[in-house]
Parts: sequence; C-alpha cells; structure tokens
Amino acid sequence: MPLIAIEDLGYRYPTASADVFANLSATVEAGAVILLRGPSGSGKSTLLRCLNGLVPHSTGGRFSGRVVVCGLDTRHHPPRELGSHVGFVFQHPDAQFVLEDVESELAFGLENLGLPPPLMRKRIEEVLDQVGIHQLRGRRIASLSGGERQRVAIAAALVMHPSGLILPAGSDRGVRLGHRGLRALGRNTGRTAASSRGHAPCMAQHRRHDVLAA
Amino acid sequence: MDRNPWLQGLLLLILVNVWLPYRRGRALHLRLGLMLGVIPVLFSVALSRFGEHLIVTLPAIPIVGGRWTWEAALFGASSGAALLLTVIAFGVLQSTVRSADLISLLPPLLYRAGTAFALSVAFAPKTVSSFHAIVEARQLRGQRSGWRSSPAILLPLLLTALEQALQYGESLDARGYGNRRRSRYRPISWAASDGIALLSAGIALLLTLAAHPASYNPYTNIVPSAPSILSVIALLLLAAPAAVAVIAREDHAADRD
Repeated sequence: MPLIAIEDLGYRYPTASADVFANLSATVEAGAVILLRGPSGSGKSTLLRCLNGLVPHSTGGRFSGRVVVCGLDTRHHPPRELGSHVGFVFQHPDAQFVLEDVESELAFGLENLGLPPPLMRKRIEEVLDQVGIHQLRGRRIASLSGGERQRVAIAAALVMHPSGLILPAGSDRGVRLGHRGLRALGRNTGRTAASSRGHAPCMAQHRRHDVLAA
Repeated sequence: MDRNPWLQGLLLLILVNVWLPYRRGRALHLRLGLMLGVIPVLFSVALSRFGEHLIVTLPAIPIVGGRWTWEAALFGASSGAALLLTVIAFGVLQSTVRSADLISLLPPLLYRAGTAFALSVAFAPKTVSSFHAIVEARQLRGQRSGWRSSPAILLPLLLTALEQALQYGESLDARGYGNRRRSRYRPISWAASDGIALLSAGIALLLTLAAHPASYNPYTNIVPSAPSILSVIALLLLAAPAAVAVIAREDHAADRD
C-alpha cells in the first residue's frame, strides 16, 4: 500500500471561479522524497494541505476525488486524526506555535496523542538531539531567531513520529533537517530504516536552485 | 454587576492589585486604556440628551448641537469604566494564566470551545506583535505612523489578526488537538492558595447573583447611591489571589531571615 494515494483530485476554493487543479493522480511510496515545483499560485501549498486534510476540512470549497494517507481517506478523517500520521510544518512557524516555550511546544503534540509523561520526555530528548536544538530547550519562542523557530517547528512535527513530513517552500535546509530527522527516527525507534518504513518527506518548492540543493 | 461608581473603583483597585504580584512581561498599554475610558464620555456627552443637570447648551449644529448634560457625561464615564474593567480583567487573565493550562484543563468533548478560548487568549499578544510589525514596515517605507495613519494601519491589522486566528486554529487541528483525551507533560498541581482563590471566586459569584438588583437602571445618578454590602464583600473576595501572594511573599522573607 502506498503511503499517499491521490486519485482524480480536484479542488476549487469557495469564492474562486476556477479549479486550483483537476484530475490529479499520484502515489507516494514509503521512503520517497518528493519536491513540488511550480510558479507562485500554481497550487503547491493547496496540494500539500490536501495531504493532512486541512483542505477541505478547514477551507471548505469544492473537493472531488480522494486522498488516502496511511490508509485513511482525508474526506472522512479530519486533520486532528491525521496529525499523528502526517507531520505538517507551516510556512510561517509563528502561525504553528501554540505555546510559549520550546519544551512545552514540543510536548503539545504528544499531549494530544495522550502519551504518558515518561515517554514524552524520551521523545523530546530524541528530537532535540536529532534537530540539534538542545540549547533551545528552555527558551521562550518569542526570543528565538527565524532559523531557530523553523527548526523548532520541524522538531514539533517530528516528535510525533509521523509517517510523512510536509515541509513548506523556500527551505532546503529545512528539507535536509526533516529528512535527517525522519531517517534518525527510523534508526532510533528500532525500525530497519526510514526508507523502508514509510517515512516520506514532502516539500513545496518553486526555485530551481533550491531543488537542486535539496 | 451594576454601574455603581464605588463598585467600579473598588474593582479597578482589586484588578490592579491582583495583576501586580503575578505580572509577566510588559505592562498594560496605558494609552489604550485611557482611550477606552475617554472616548465613551465624548460620544455620550455629544450625542445623548438625557438628564436635568446642564453643562452647556450648544447652537443647533447637526448631531452634536443642543443640551449637553452631566448625566450623559457620567453615563459615558460609566460605560468607559466598564469597558476598561473588562479589558483589564482579560489583561490580568492573559498575564497570569498560561493558555496551555487552559487548553489542557478542558475535556476533549469541548475541543471546539477550547480552540475558541485558546484563540481568544492568544489574540491580544499576536495582535500587538502584528501592530508593531506593521508600524515598523510603514516606518521603513518612510510613511507616517501617527494618529492620521490609523485607518491605513487598522485595516492590515484586522486582516492579519483574522489570518493569524485561522492559522492558529488550523495548527491546533493539524497537531491533533481534540482528537482524544490529552495527557499532561507537566501535571498541573493544586496548591492551597489555588483552592482559596477558587473558593473565594465561587462565593463572590454567588454573592453577586444574590445581590443583583431586581430592576436594572443603566443610567448613573449624579449622586451615586451606596453599594450593597453583599456586592462589596463579593468584590473584596476577588482580591484573594493578591492577598495570598502577599502572604506567600512574607513567608519567603521570613525564611531568608
């Protein structure tokens, strides 16, 4: 079973007069790294938001076809149910942060999974090492630089041990971090390898040199 | 609560006293507070013709002309005070309670209410930081940032605030909030002082309901009537967190000696 299966996907925003895309089909196998490329406004971000159910659950609009992620049809499973399967990093990290300090922010997703506190502590230690942000652990988010915020946002998605990770545009460094984190996740959790256990980082991107760099 | 100025004054003192020992970060914006207090007075005195005690009679200018009365000014002041008190109460809540604790206290069934509540608590600081960002961007472009430019600032501020609220809600959703029963990374512990604060707030609520007048008069008399003893006791009970903080501080001081 592919990690992500997109079948005849079409979508139109509620007030728009034209479809963002139509009859789109694709599959993403476990371990693949997918880079989306296209001009601004071509629907890259919208497509990525389809993968964790924010489209159409949060946006409304006309949605046709279907997207199946880890066996779950996004039409019937809202983003909060897909959250543990697909890690989503927002384009602006500030929009993603819910709490005030880095450690609480990392714990937020784990609390939502209902994990016991000792396991949460273990996972937070792991992800701090993987993303290399141990020194930021006790910092307030408001005091972090832009780059530090991006790393915390990626760590907050990785800490939930997602099967796939969706990263925003314009961050080849973010993609490297995300991919490294997913591979490490495969090793640290005793899995054979990230590539054979269904971790697929995806990314929206439109600048060619960044794609090559990533 | 009624519009008795004695009670409003007492509540203001209590709110400031509760805020002082628990304050974090910046103080409440004084200018914004003064605006909230003064603008209703101007509106009320210029537009309302209610009352007997005359300040001045203006010639027949459209809308604002005619009799300006002390009663209208008092009504405006009372409305301004009520607005100011509401904002300060939220400010105190904002600076004393972590939104994380509020979110984690709500059961999963109420996750929509929890999202809305978390949004309302996070709204003020996010809007303030957006305001500073917009003003800074205008200054970089060499544009004014004074009173005259407020329409040019308020529109992007409103749009940014709405956009941020939507994204914040999406982030809560995308990160699994409300999917199942939450566990707690740092369990919330209840101290005796929390119990005292909760109990006194509960009694204050009951007393306020008991002291509620049968007929509600929105206007304020020129000579304010004495507040009922029950209302005063109810308000004084709201000062419990401030009193507890002072007692705790004295305990620490004794330890150091």
